[in-house]
Amino acid sequence: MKKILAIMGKNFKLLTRSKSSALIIVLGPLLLIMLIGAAFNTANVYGVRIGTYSPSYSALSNSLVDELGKKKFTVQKIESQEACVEGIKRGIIHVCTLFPADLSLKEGGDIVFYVDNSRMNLVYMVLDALNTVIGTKTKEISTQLTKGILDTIDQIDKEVTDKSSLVNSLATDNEDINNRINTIIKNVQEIDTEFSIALPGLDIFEEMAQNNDSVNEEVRTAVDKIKKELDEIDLQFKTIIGAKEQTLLSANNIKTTLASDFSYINAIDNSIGKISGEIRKVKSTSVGKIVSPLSTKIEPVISEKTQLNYVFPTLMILIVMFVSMMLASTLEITEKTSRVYLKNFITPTSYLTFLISNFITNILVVLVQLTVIFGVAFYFFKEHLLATIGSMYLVLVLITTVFILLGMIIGSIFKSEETGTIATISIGFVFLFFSSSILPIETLPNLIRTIASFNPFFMGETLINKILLFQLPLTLFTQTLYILSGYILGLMIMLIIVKRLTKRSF
Amino acid sequence: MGIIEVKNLTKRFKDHVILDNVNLDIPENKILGIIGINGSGKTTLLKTIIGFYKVNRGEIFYRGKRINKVSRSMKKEFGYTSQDSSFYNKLTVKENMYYFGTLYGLSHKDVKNNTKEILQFVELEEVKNTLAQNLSGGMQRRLDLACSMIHKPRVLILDEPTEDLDPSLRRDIVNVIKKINKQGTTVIITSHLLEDVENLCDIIAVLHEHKVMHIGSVEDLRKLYGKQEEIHVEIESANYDRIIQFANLKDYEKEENKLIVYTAEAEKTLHMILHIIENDKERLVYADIRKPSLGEVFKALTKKK
Repeated sequence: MKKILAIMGKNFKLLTRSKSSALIIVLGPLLLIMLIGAAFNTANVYGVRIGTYSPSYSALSNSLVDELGKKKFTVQKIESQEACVEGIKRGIIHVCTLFPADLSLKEGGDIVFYVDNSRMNLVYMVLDALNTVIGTKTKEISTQLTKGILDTIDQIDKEVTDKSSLVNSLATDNEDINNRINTIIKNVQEIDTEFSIALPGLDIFEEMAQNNDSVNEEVRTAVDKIKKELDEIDLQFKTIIGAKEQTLLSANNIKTTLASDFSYINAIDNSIGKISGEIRKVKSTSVGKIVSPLSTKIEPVISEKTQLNYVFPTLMILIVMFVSMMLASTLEITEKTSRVYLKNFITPTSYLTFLISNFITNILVVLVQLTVIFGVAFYFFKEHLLATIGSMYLVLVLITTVFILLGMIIGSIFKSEETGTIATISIGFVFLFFSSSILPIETLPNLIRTIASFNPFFMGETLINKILLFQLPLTLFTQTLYILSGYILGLMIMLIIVKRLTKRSF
Repeated sequence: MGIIEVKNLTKRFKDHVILDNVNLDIPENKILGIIGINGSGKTTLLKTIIGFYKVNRGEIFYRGKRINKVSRSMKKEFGYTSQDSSFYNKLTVKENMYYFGTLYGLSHKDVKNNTKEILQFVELEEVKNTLAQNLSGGMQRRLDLACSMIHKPRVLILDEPTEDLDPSLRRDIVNVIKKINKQGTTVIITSHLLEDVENLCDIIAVLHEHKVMHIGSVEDLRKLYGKQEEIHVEIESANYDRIIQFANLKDYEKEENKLIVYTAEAEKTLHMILHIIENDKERLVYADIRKPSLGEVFKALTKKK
C-alpha cells in the first residue's frame, strides 16, 4: 500500500507540476464543456443554406421561399437549375429546391429537392424542416379548397331542406286524391243501374190493343211510344252501366297511379332525408379534420428544448472515452520509455503495484475532470443532475474503468507515444462509429447491430441518457451493469497477460 | 569466489549475438571496470546481471546463488544507474529519494535516515528541496547515484557514470564512487573514459567482440600488453634512423615527430639514446619514460586480437 501511495503521489506531482498537464486536467474539460455548451445550447439551425430555382416564380413559390427564410435558413435564389445543383457539389448551398414554373393551386406540380447524401444528418434535418414548410403551405391551400366545398354543400343542404316540405305536400295531396278516388269509386259502385224493360201488364195491354179493334189507334200508338220510350231508357241504362264501368276502371287506374306516385314521393323523401343526413354529417366535420384526418404530433418525453440536453450524455461518454484511453495509454508509454523505467524495474516492486497505482491515478484524474464537467453542467441541468449524480458517478466509474484498462493495454502493447496515440484514436473512433452518435445502430445490419449493442461506448451513452434525461433508476439496467463488470474483469486479466508478456522488452 | 560470477553467458537479440560465452568473476568490495568499444555489449552485460534482460544461455551467481531470474529480495542487493540521468525531473531531490526508498521497501524512518546520510555523502543536502531539473549536470549525476544508493546496496552498478561531464565534475564523481567503495560496496562500472577507469578500478575487464577478452588489474593488463615502459623521444631533425641503428631498437613506433620505444629496461635504453643524440649533436626537444596508458594497452590488446 505504501508503494502504491508513493507511485500515485509521484504521478500526481508529475501531472500537477507540469503546467501543460495541469491545464489539460482542469481547464481542458472545463473549456470543452463550455464550448460545447455554447455551441449546442440552442434548438436553431443556423448557417444552413438553401438554394431555390424556378423558371418562373409565382406568388405561391415566392411565399414558400419566404417561409423557408422565416425558419432561419439562409435562402438564395439561383439563376439556373444547373447552378443550383452545382452549388451543392461546391458546398455553397446545402439543399437545392426546384419549384415548377408558375406554381399554382390550380395546376399543382412537383417540388424537387437536390441534396448531398454524403451529409446525411444535415440532409435529414433540412428535409424535415423543408417538409414542414411545404406541408404547412399545402395544408393552408387544402383548407381553402375544402372550405369552398363545404360552403357549396351547405347551400345544397339548405336547398334540399327547403324542397323537402314540397315533397311532403305532394305526398299529402297524393293521399287526399287517393281518398277522393276511393269515395268516387264507392259512390259510383253504389249507383243502381239495375233496370228491366219487361213490364208484364204492358205486354197484355199490347196484346189486347192489337186484338181488340175497339182500342183505338191512339192507344196503340201510346203503347208503342211507351215501348219505344222503354227501349230508349233501356239503352240509356246500358250506356250508364258502360259509363259506370268505364268510370270505375279509370278511377282504379288513377288509384294505381296515385299509389305508384306515392311510393315515388316516399322514395324522394327518403333520398332527401339521406342526403340531408349525409350533408349534416359532413358539415359537422371541421375543415381541419378533412384536410388532415390523421394528425401526428411528436411529443418529447422530456420537456428539454435545447440540443445540449440530448447531446450531453454522448459528450460525457466521448470525453470519458478519449480522456481515459489517451491518459492511460500515454502514462503507460511515458513510464515505459522513461529513463527512470529501468530504475523502477530493478526495485523490488511488482509490476502489479505499478499497474494498480497507475490505474488509480488515471481514474482519479478522470473523476476530477468529471467533477469539473458536472460543476459546469449543473448550470444547464440543475435538479436533474443533482437527483441522479450518484447513479451517474457509478456508471461513469464503470465506463471509465473499462476505457482506462483498454488504454493501459494499448500503452503496454505499443512502444512509442505516436503509435499508442494512433491506436487509441483508431479504437476510439471504432467505438464512436458503432454507437448511435453518428447513425442510429438500428440502421445497421442485424449482426453488426448485435455486436454494436455490446459496445461500451454505446452502453455508457444509453445508460447516461436514460439516467440523466429520463431519471430512470439504475436497477432497470442491471444486465448492462453486469456486462460492463464482465468487461472490466476480462480487461484486467488481459492487461496482466499483456504486461507479463511485454514487461521485458527482450 | 567473487560476489558475482558470470559463467558462459550468452545474450542474443534475435539472431544478433551481443554477449558470447562471457565469463566474469567480480570480487567483493572492489571496483570492477568494464571497458570496450561502442557496441561491445557493456550495457547489455550490466542489464543482464540486474535481470532486465533474459539470459539466453549461461548462468549468473550472486554469492554462489544462481540468479538468472532476479528475485525481489535479490533486487535489494543491487543499485543501478544508467547512462542517462534516471530520476524524475519534476520531483525535488528529497522526493526522488523518498520515492525510490519506498519502492525498495524501506520504512519511513529508514528512508528519512538514509536520505539524510546519502545526501550529505554526495553533498546534495543543501539542495534537497530543489527540483531535480534545476540542478547542475554534476549534481544531477550525484542525485542519480544517491537514488541508486538509497537502500544501501551491496553491489552498485554504474553505466558510464562520468559520461558527458567536464573534467572537474568527472573528478567529483570518481571521488564519490571511491568513497562508496570504501564503505564496502562492490562497484561495477562501464566507461569509455579509460583514464577514469584507470584511476578508479581495481579490476578491469576488456570486452571485445562479444567476449571478455582479458580481466585483471591495470598492471596485469600492462603485462599482457608486453610493453611495460615507453620511452618518448623527440629531436629537432626528427631523423631517428641512427638512434634505431646504434641503440639496436627492436620494438618502437614513429608517431609524427616523436619516437616511442617499448622496452623492459627503460633507463638503460634512454641513456643509450641520449648518448647517441649527444654524439650526433642533434638538438633534443623532449625525452620521457612512462608506463603505457590504459588506452594504449586497450588499443594494443584489441588490435592484437
